[in-house]
Amino acid sequence: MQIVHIADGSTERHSAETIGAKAANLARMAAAGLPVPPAFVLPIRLCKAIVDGDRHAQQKLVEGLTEGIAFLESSTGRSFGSRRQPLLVSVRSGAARSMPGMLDTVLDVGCTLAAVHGLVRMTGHPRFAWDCRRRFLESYGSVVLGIDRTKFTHRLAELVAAEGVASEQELDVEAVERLTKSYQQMIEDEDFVLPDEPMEQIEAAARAVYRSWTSDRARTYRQLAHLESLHGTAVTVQAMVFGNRGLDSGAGVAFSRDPSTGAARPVIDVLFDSQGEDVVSGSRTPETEQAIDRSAPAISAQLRQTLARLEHEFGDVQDVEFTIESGKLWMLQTRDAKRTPRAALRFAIDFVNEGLLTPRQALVRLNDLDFSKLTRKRLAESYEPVARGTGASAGIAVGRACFDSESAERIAAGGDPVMLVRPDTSTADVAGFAIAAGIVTAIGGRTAHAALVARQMGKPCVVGCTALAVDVAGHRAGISGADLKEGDWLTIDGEAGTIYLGQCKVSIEQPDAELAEIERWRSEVPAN
Amino acid sequence: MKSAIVEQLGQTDILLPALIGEALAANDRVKVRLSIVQAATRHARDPSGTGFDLTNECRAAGIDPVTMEPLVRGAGLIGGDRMTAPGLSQLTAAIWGDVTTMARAVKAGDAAAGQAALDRLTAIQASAVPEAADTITLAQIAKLVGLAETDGDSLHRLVMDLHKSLNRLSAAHAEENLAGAHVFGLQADDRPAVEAFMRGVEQTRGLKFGHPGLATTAARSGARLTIQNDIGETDAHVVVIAVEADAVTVTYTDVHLPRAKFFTRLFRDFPVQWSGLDRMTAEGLSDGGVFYLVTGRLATDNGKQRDEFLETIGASLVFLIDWNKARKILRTWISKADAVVVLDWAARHRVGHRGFLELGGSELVASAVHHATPQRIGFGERLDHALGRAAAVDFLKTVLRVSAEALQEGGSVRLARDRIEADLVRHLQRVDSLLLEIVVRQAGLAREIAAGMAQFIAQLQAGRPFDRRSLAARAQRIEEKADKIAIEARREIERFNADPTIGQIVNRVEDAIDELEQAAFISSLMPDAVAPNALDRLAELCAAAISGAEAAAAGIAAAADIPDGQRVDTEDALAAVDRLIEAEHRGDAAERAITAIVLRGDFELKTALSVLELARAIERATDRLAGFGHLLRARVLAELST
Repeated sequence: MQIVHIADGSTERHSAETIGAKAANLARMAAAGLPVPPAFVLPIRLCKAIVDGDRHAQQKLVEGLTEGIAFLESSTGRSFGSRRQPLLVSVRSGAARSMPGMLDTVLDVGCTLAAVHGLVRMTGHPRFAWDCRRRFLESYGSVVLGIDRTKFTHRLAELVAAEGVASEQELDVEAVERLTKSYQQMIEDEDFVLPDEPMEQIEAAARAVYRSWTSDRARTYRQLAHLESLHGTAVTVQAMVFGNRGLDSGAGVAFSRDPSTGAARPVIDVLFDSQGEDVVSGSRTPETEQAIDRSAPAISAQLRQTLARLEHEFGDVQDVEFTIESGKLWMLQTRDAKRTPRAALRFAIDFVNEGLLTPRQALVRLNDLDFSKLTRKRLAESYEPVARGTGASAGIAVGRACFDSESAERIAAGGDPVMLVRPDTSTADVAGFAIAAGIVTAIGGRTAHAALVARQMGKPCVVGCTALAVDVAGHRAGISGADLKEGDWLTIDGEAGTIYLGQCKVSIEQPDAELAEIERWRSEVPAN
Repeated sequence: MKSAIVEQLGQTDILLPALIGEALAANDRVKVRLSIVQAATRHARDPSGTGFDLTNECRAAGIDPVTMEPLVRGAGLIGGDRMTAPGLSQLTAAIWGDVTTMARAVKAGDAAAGQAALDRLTAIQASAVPEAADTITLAQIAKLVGLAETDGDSLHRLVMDLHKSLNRLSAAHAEENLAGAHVFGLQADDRPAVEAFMRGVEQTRGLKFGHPGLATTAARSGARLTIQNDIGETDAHVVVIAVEADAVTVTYTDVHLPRAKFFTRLFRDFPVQWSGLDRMTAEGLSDGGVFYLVTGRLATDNGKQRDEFLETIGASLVFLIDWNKARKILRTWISKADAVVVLDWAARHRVGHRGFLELGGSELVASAVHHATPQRIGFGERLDHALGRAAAVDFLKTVLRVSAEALQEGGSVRLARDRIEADLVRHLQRVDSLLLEIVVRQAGLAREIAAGMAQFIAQLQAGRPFDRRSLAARAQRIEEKADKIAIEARREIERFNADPTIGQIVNRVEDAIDELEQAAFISSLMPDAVAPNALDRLAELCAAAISGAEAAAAGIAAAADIPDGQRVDTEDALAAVDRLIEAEHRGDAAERAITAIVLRGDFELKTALSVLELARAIERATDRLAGFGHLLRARVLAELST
């Protein structure tokens, strides 16, 4: 079987239909000379056959992985499962169209106990080595073995409490080592045998990622997003780069322009001493572009340059994932940014002004834009917000509070608009999103999956509202000392990130200047 | 019970030869029993006449002649048309039972003929007039034994008809021995499949070491070939394999869920789709009749792959015998999960655990521990606690391998025990490596305080606020934890009589941690405004401390690999020593620069004092780490000379 190598010096283009959009873009970034960790891709056409248990496909999978790992070993100089220079890989999904967060990924594959020792030898940083093992056990345990992820988070929370520290970040090396051992014990208590052979790990991980194509949430998303014609996911195996190696490392997500307002400035979320999943999962609140400017100005400048180059290369606003390992920037993903209708309009006009698009091209791009959604709601009066969070998807929403998808459906059925109020969001909440007028979460950043989905659906969304404490089981929440019950009215401003008790009065505005510009193009560009 | 489970699994085809066999035996019995009835009648009619002796016939048919003798000799007539004999009711019940067995077997092979026979049997039973216990009319006897054309159906006629049917079925399902399997009704294509399976069974049969089991039957029925194996002959432990044109399906039942999972994992090299592990119940089993059912399907139309799979299944079954017993024993020495890891390894390497059990199981390990390490491993202490997880697992693998080899090669048991002891001693000598893991943990803790200090200085440089009190508190917690680790390490070093250099190494890192904690304490009291050039040097000092702690961890990890390792391990350890000494030089230079800046500059007293104290504490930490480096070098060189 032909696997596709990425970052092997080739400049060949690959189609999203063959290797998935994510891998195709990764290959394109590498071909453009951007720093991309080496990777290889098992194609989409293998997906259905693997899910069906076809024996030829299984054989091809094993052959492809063996060949691919040999490629990664030779390009990184590390070896899989080694006690000296271990190679760790991520096993990622990627369909022909982006399905953010709906398919599975297994991280730090190859992190056997021998590899933990090898990571200590490589870095002299045992906490980092055990942290890799912890992340591996979490993702392998939940994705491949099907253990409920909350069991891991509970163990972690218990240990954080027992050690008397504020967060997982503050756990010391001894505690993290103990945590990984307790994770392993938990896996074994469920009668699973955790393979300590890296090839066995990667085979199981690749199969699980292919299988995630058929999960309920992936099917639901394809239905909602009209992606039912897709054939499956590819599997990308990439050498891990480590944002968790220390304070000169980190992981983040960036947009080349503001996907919410359309403003022509990058939006960057970064978490230092962290891995990418910490940023996108929305489980911690990231720092913004000021933080990276301050602590890593050179990286910040390189990142901004890269974002601009990517806009040129792809001809559209980009949404990227990056990792900084010991002061070196790595690009892990780029894709056309999801955006609000208003941002789409602003981008089109700015791209024409900057000479990146002709008016005709810009008009084509705006073909799918729902102009009715350009009208912008504003609060008619100045109200005092009860709390503030981070604005993640612009717009005003007014609705009755509910704390889970089920009650959202119940209240919506009564005809009133609904405000989904959650401690955090996981992509499991998609059903609730679809019917909510707006979304509020206690933690998470602008680049959390939830924020991405909210923007795509055009729903106003405020994340990272620290004054909010949600008691899902009790169907209530506390917000800045006020008591919020199910069915109470709330108003949010998804741009300012403000939250108001009750039903605020709303007025409606339109981007008249921009619309006039579009009209002018239309009159100048001959119809054909 | 086993056949009951097989029936419950809907696999009666495979049972047909057994049913036919049983029915033919019933045919033999019923003829003897009818003869006994005749002998009794004869004795009743003429008690002084010569009886006929059926002793040999009884024995051949599996009937106890001793109970039959009193029946015949005690027979007498009542009123001229009835006979009574002690045990007669039991005898007639056995006769009905034999005929029922025959009819059921016929039904399993030929449903219509079997049902017709059962109907006839019911009719004959219904026509019998009930009599008192142990009594029968002579007319009824005639009806049982006779064959008169005019007198309607008789039992004997039914028996003869059934015998004929059984012979016909038996011919159609002629049982033969194929590569050690009892097979019948095979087609030409089935033979390689059965042979492949048996090849596997024979490859590992020797590893069951006298335990009964592994008998195989195979039959063709319609579109599939069915293979069944007895495994270890325990109830509800059944494997049935159906071979079809495009797939092999394995149906497996087990009362032990972990063993069922273990079984499925043995086939991970094949793309088998497993489903189930359903909880089932069957009457008459121990454990409340609960067992687990799992089904695996390998879709394949490739004969080679099919045969490899069948061979692997055949070769794997011996590893299921006494599996739970072996697991329980291993669990007293290592964790539950590692016990399964060892058993999995033993199966994959065709070593198995039966040899281990034969040679004494737990006692084998206990005596090695007792002889090799009386003081070093406590009574009841788990091996993974004493040797480390990897070494304990490795040692137990050796125990299983050596046991199997000794029994297979007919070597002496004494020699096997000696080899096992020697391996344990070898692992104990490697315990030093385990102790070095503790040092890695300590070096990690030192790095964490140093990194916290570095962050503090960076924030001061950026003029941003920093919670230095929580840094000091955290450093104190880490220092206390490191103390505990050091105490534990010293105890272990003493217990294992380890290299005393390791103790000195432990002390050196602990000293470095103490100094860094002192630095964190001073930082909590230091004024905010410090001259930028002094801060730059403090940042260098922190970087030197981080680099020293990292070199310590990397160096000790490399040193742990030296005993079994390669030259690169020695080189890496010595390179780390160089980095440690280099870090000390950098620390020293930065500390001197700071002294100069403070003494030449115009510092407020509190600031001057705290900056100097801070610099000295960190510098002393790099100094301790350099001392660590010297000890590490001594140890590496000592390892090389051994």
